[in-house]
Amino acid sequence: MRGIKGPGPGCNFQGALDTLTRIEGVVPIVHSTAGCVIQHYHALRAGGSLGAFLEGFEVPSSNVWEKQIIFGGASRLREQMKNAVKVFSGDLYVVLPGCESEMVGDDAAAMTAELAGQGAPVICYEGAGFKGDAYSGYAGVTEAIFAQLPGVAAIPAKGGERSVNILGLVPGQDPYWQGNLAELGRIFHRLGVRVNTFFGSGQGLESWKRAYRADLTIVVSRWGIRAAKLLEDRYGVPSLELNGAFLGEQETGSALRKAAALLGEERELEPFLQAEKSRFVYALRQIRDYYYAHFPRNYGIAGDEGAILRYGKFLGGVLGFSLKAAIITDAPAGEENPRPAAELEGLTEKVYCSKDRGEIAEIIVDTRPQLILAGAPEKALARRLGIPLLRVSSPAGRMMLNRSNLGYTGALTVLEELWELFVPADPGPYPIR
Amino acid sequence: MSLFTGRTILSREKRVSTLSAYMGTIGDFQREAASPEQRQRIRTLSQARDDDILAALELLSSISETVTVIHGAAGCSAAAPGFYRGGDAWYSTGLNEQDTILGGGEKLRAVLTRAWEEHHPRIIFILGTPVVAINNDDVNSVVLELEGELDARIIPVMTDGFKSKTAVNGIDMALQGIGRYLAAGPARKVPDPEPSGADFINLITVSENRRGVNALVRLAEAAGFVVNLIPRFGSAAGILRAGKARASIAVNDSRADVFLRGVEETSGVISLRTGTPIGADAVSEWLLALGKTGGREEEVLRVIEAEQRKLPPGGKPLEGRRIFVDLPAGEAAETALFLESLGAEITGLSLDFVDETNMESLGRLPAELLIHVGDGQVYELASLFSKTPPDFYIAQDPAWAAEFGVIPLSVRQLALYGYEGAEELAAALGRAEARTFTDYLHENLKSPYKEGWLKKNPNWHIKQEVK
Repeated sequence: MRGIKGPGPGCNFQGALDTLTRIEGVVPIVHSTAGCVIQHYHALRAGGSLGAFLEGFEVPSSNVWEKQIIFGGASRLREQMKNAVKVFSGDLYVVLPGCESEMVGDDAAAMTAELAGQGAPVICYEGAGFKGDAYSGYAGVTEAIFAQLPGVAAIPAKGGERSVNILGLVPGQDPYWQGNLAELGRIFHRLGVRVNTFFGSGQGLESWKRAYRADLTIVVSRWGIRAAKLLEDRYGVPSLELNGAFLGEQETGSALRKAAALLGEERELEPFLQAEKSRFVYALRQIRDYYYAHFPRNYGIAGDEGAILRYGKFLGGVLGFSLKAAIITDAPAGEENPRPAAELEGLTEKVYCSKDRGEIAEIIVDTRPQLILAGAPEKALARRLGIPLLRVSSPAGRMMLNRSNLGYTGALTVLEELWELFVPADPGPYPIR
Repeated sequence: MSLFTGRTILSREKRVSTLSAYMGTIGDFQREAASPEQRQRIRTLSQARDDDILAALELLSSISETVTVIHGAAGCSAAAPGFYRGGDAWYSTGLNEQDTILGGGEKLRAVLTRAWEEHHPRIIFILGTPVVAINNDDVNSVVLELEGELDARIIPVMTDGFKSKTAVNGIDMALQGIGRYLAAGPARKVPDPEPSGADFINLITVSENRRGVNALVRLAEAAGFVVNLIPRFGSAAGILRAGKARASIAVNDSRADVFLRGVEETSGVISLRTGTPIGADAVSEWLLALGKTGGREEEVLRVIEAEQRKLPPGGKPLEGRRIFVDLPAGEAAETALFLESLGAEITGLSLDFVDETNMESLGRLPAELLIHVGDGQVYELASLFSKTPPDFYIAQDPAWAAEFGVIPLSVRQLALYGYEGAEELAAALGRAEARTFTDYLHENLKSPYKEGWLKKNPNWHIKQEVK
């Protein structure tokens, strides 16, 4: 019980807000005290990761004040909701109550049902900040959308086109989220299916509506399981769990074959897999001299379990780096000694769980890897130890519109980033990328 | 009881009748303010805005030799990394759902102890959050218990996010907390900072950026003043010195009001009340006020002459440009006057709040000038701009205005204050006239507001509060 030093992965409310502000056409209607949204905005801005639709000062928020804390904020919420749907142009409105409204007992769900009954496409996610962290906020709000959307929007019947859903990639916590979703879309499209990635450009509410008729849900981390289970239990959409997704041609090829087998779509897959492998080998020929002269042989990583698995299998299985310390930052809140995935225990000497930047620093100091994969908060530490730092975890402090760290393209990105850290003639005493 | 001896202070609204929602002309506002029946206003639709916690955190984050413990759920400290810029002198108690029922005293005790062990600060600030305020957590018992054990002053700044409708209330509370440190003295001996016993002035800074503050410090030092910069970008030691200064002068009187008055009450240090030093004329007035009190009129005149010689020749380079300014009242008023002196037409101001401490700054502006009072609330400005778009919109975060074909000018990286601030602002406006990017955004980005709203009166959702 030592509190939290440095940024942890936000609160449950902020995770939900992160998620909603990355869906085109979705308008969050926050019911909370004034600063909640702006805390989130400052965090994202410092991390290099603002949303592209509504963000920060644009988000409608009831900004409850003392009167509503003492006497309840239901009427303020009713007024805010009614006016927000008149002023903001949205395909879906999501009421998002914060800590205070939950503590004083405002019945946001009832207010929402009232407005939905009048024909507005509005749902509610009661995910107060103290209920968890940003990862649980993603899990909760995605489940809430899938649960409530059919009540306020027409869900199309299954047509001839086949599709897969991608769940578990948390856009507010994965700094590479845009490139990663694009890569997942590109890869799975080769199976002759439409890919619903739900976030980012071109993936507005229509992709969520298609999800109920999809042929498969690919779950790339534990945080997608709740929503995937709902789709499976209520709508018969089977799921395939690929914890951590995949990085590099071996893991990506294996994942594609599994998905293809489930979909019964093995046609013409092998030429694509072979072409992507050739692309990677072509890159290795450009990298090999640097690998043997400059690249490290071990590393430490602090990030979510999915990213650790992904990097672990690629950096270990292909590049031969040994993983000296894996620090999981998204262990479910409330679990005293969370058990990491079995695959992870086979990849590394030691697995830790911590969201505390002080503890993370101590572990890195103790293990002294040659390379650190972590976030922007580790900059000062990397500088002090003189160890190169690759910022792959949130908050990364990097603006990434198109980079990927999964799939085939992600493997090439990793090679580029390692080169930039270890090879330039004058990288400085503490190169940081 | 002086401002610095109580545990806290009254909210801004109760102390100085702060208004956070209004739209009308300066003349109408002044007439209403003069009447005994001035009514508070509320919004029936609002967008997110800063709160007192954020304002206090931003200020406290810049004071060296201190640590801040944000007592609340993890999300209430999400902004801290941006404010601390990679520094780690902050913690969160990370309250969870169980703590909202059972209280967070144990966690607070543990985190305060950790903060002391890891940093040995002179001051540990505890920042309050809504959960703690609603639960009425007993922070004071923890403070009393630990202040004897830890060799630091522990100062609760019990912001709550909801008792005031204005973020500046957080600055008031932080300043009052800082003032309590001044009044109480250090927990352990502080070495007398150099130069010992020197004649110096306090420059009171609260939310200005570093470049702007540096511009003013350079001017004051050029006139021979020794500057004690507090509290923003200052230190715990500097706070203790404040009581021995010759005088105090602020960048923005209204925002620094609590500290100016508190230091005067506690230690007799006179406060110089001036306009915000933006634009050559206002900067000169600011320096002259400093010079009179410090007995350095001649030195100040020499500095003013030297700086004015460096300024570009006069003229009206902004003739015909229509500009809307969205800054705090002191900054907005002086920026407007400065830009008008360069030939611009000011089409309106947006201010985060208006009250007894800053109304005077509006007095030199035309009575028919439109003022919009509301921290952010850009949907109202969107409605205004869709009907009468200015050429430029000056603000901290103005990018949204490009959707309406208005050229945004961000002041985030500009000094703004001092002579160099004025030059920078004028030059930035000149550069901003290359509107290629703005035009591209205007053509391609869709506004999030419905057409129906954009046709409505922008003050549609501002109503008088019914008690």
